[in-house]
Amino acid sequence: MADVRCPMCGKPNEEHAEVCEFCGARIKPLTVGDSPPESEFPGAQQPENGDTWLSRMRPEGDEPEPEDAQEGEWLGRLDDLSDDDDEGQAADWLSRIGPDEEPALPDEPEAEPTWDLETGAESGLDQPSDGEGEEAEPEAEEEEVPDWLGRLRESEPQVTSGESPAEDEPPAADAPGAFDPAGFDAEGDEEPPAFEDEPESEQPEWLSGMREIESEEEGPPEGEIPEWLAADVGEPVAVPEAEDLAPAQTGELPDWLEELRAAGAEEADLEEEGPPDWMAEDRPPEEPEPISFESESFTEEDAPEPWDEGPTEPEPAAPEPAEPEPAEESAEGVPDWLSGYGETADVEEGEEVPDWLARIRAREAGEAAELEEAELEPSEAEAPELEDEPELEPIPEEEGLPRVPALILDDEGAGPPEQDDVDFDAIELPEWLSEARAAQAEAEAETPGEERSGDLAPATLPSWLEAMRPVETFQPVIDLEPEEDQVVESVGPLAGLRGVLSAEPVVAKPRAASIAGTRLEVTERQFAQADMLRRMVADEEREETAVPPERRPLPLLRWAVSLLLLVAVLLPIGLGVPSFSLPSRVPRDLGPLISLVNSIPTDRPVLMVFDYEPGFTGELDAVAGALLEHVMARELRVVTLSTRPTGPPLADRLVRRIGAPHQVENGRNYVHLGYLSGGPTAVQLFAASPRDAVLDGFDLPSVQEDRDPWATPLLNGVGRLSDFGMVAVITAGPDNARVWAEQAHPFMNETPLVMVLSAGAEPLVRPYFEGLNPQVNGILTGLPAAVAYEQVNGRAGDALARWNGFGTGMLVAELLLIIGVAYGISRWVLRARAG
Amino acid sequence: MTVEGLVGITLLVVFVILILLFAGLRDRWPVVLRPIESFRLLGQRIERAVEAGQRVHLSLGTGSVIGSDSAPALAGLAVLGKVARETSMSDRPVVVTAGDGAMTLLAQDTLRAAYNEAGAKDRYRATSGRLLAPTPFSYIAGLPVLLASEDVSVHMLIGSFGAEGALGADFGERNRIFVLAGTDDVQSQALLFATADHPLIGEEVFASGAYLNVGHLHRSSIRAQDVVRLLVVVAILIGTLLRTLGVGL
Amino acid sequence: MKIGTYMIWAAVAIGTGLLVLLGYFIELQVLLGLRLLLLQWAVLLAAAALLVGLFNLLSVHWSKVSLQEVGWPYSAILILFFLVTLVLGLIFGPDYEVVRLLFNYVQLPVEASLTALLAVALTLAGFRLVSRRRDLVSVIFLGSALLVLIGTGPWPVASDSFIAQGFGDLRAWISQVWAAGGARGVLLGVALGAVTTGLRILLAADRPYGD
Repeated sequence: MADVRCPMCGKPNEEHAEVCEFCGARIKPLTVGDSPPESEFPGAQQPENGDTWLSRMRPEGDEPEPEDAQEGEWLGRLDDLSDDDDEGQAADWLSRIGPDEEPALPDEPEAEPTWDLETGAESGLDQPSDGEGEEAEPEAEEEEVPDWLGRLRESEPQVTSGESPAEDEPPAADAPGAFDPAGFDAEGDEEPPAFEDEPESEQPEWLSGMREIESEEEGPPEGEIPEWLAADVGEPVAVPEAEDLAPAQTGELPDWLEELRAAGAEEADLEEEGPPDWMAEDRPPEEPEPISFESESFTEEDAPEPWDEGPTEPEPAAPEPAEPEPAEESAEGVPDWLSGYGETADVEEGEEVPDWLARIRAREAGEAAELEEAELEPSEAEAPELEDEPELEPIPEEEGLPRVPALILDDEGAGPPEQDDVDFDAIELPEWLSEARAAQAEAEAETPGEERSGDLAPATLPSWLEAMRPVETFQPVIDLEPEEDQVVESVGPLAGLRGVLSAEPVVAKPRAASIAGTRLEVTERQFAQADMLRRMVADEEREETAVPPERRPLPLLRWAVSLLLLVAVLLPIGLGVPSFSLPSRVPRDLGPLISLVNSIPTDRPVLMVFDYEPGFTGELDAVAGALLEHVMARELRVVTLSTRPTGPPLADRLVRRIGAPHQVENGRNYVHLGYLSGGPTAVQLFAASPRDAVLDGFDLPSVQEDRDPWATPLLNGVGRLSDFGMVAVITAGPDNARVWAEQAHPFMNETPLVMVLSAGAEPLVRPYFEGLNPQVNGILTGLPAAVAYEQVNGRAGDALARWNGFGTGMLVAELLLIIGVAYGISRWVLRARAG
Repeated sequence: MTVEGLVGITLLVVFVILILLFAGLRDRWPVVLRPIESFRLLGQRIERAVEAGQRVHLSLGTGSVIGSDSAPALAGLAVLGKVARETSMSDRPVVVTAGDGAMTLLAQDTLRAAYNEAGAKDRYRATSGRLLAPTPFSYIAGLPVLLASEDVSVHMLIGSFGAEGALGADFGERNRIFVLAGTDDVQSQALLFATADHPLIGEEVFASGAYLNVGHLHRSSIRAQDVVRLLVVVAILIGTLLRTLGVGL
Repeated sequence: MKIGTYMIWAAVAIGTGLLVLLGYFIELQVLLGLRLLLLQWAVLLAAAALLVGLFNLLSVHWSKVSLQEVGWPYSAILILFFLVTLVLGLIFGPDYEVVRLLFNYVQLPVEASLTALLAVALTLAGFRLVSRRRDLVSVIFLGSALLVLIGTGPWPVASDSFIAQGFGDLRAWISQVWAAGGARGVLLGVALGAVTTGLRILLAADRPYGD
């Protein structure tokens, strides 16, 4: 239990040993804050636990934030993290979220590790830098570049030549990141020279062996690119500035944070710090300024693809040893896939670098030259390459050197862990945090050009190309981060390394957040569509007020017609005007009917069937009243029947009213058989056997004990339909008339069948009356015939009383129809003329 | 058996044979129906009603089952079955009203069978088939309340109506809904022609089943009906000619 | 099971229909008696069905009242008068004075008013017809109606004139020749349609009695 086995060499070490005594590998993994190593990758292990990673980051916020040392701030914070892990106020660290606002901390130089593969892992990664860091601090503050970064920049030119030397370099060396896929593949195999040199001394054998093989086989050993990566690299994506490329590898943040951060932090960092001169070197000599549209669009406004982020600047990965990250792993070297990662970026940069990037590189090259000696001395293996980068550009052996950063920093360079490399911009912060970050990003974006102080001559973009260049319209999936923001690997064989490429952002991490901070360049149409969408969404969210149902227009015409007809009917009744002359001629059907009624023997009752609805009483009562008057005038006995439930009361009502002048008596002069249920079927049954069909009467005489109507003396001797003296059917429709004519007439023998009809039913019933063998023996239809009948009867009845009103109403109806027809035809014609 | 009876039976037998014959020949000699705009629009309006969650109302009229006026109501029942199947998934299934108790029972049976066939047995409600009132005018008097309260958008009158049928159609027109009205009574047809937007004239009310694809026997019966009609016309012409020539029959 | 049930009902319907139909055409005493018996059953069943229908009417409006749906007060009034009339009719008979009063002063005026409303509706429909349905048939329809009205109604002046008499004759000619002839033709088609409908039921193609 006392011994702890080194994860790399397997040899036992003391329980509290942080690094392996034998191989130098870090035993205790570096962590951000006090969190255990396994919790340092919230994206991997606690993706949903925001508090955990927040708590790990908060201690950083406790650090003071030098305003002028923006890039070195993380060093101080990391340093403090190693010492003080208490959770600071979120606001503090949030104030430093923006990558550009991260000032260098006072102890930044100390924290800056000088990534020495040989010693850095042991001494530097865990320990805050002291003396050297202090020396470098003033410079870092002045130039806003941490000394470690300066050293890194200095070393970069050694790798791929300086900004201008890049032109001199052979294409094979400085074009590893060529934008064309073919070139990229070829160049992706290159390894950074610094990596090549550094690990040779202390890197594990397996790693060094691998690198050797790679360098031998593939030329510029900037790092291998796995096949999968090489395939991706094939896209013509421009390389971002070196500042972004390097931190991306070394950042201690989980790669998902790096990915997220890249969106907001990259550009400002690049502009402020300028690209390292190695980037300039990478540019192929034949095309220092010519910028392809693709590369331009990607390099300027957009962060690079994930595969070109990290590996380009592997050196900054070393400065993080102060962090309690798994430095032992970092000391063991970088796997070739990681070195290939850095290679890709270089390759890309080497070719089509936009002018602005060239300027940045130039500026950074100058800065790095100033810083290199003061900051990068501790690293033996790296120092010659880094420090002399500007000068050593022409060194041939460095051209092809791998660019993978030193895995192990020397003691001096073992600054505070770069915990501030946490990409605060990219972190999926709560909304309130995101707002703060957005404000910072805006502030950064306002001053980009001023800080471009490069040695590179500004590229001259054609105006048309400048116009085509998308501005902030595209954000790469994974941006390069400043080297100080890069994640320090915490577990595995690369523990302690900064900028270790993680496949996770490429493969699995969601990428939406990296685009969040960009501004879209939209066309008017797109804007209109977006606005429409916004309005639609707003409409959906808006609470709909209850829309009252569509209000129908007032039926004025209906009212007018009703009023006209009402007045037309009432006016003659009330005022007696207008008065219409009575019919002067007796209808031709009336004479036979009158003769028929006059021929009915008085000893045989007359059956009157009230087959009409109460609604037709207005017409049929008047028409039937004339016939009933005639029958009663002849003192014929009346028997009523109805196939409708409402018929009996109608019959009783009319008989009582018409018979009142004749002093008729129920049971003696009339009797109601009542309701014959069964409709037309019952008519047939009744015609066949009346006594069997009707079992109950209506309003029978009170003196009659039995409810059987046939017990009435009036019906004595009546057992069949033919026993009646006449059958008169009063109906409004032709169907009932047809039923009686067809169903009952065969049982009537010589008994006449008379139809009292509404005017509308006459045309359909008349054929039964006018046929060769008439089934109807008499017909009385309409009010004019009733008026004529009453005139014949010599007694004014309902028909005469309604005659004037009937005439006026008919006249108004005729006028309305004429007007309506004229109006309709005129509209018809007018519309036809109008086309 | 009288001559009339013999002629009648013969005519019925011929009718049945023709119906079955044309039903068998429906593939070789498909029945082509004269396009009637009212039926075309009816399908559209029913679809809209289903989509809008509105009600389809079918009135079977005021005729009784045991009378001769039951024929249009029986045709209406065939339409009811089809419409009920089509609207079975609607939020507000079809409602059918009648002015006769027995017709109400038949309407309920038709609805039940239609829902069973549509696999929506649980959606059947006995109150979907209603006796609105036992007399014609009281039946019509109940229509405005029904049309308003049930949110009816398709108002079909397929049954036996008297003059009150025109008033029933007018109530639908007042509500500005789709009104299709047909009956067997000629006088009422004349009134419906004026008041309904989509009147069915003549025997069109009996052809509604064929137009709504209720069954192939409906279509074949239309063709048989035409054949018999031609026979009757020929018989009338022959009788008229013989009578004109003084030949008594 | 379903098929068996359906076949039973179809067989009953077809058998009953054929018996009544044959009894109408064939004057056999057995068939005539059987036909009359079936018709009586039909009448009784219709009466029973009316009771069922009335119960349905009551249940529908009761449901409206209980759920307080739109127009439920009307349903409540209907239920009230339904029960009152039913009770009075069952106890005292349909010719009871109160029942007749209800008929004479409630039902009769209401239905007569509806008929008057029909007159208004028809007049209005005629007024709008040409505007709403622009075709020659509508014009002919309204022209015929106008001629019949003029020939039917009294004239304010000169009702005995030759013109008035001429319109009277024209009206008779139109209604008794053209209208009656056309109506007969229509009735013929309607009759054929009715026969077809009945035959479909006899063939069990239409099964209004359900499955």
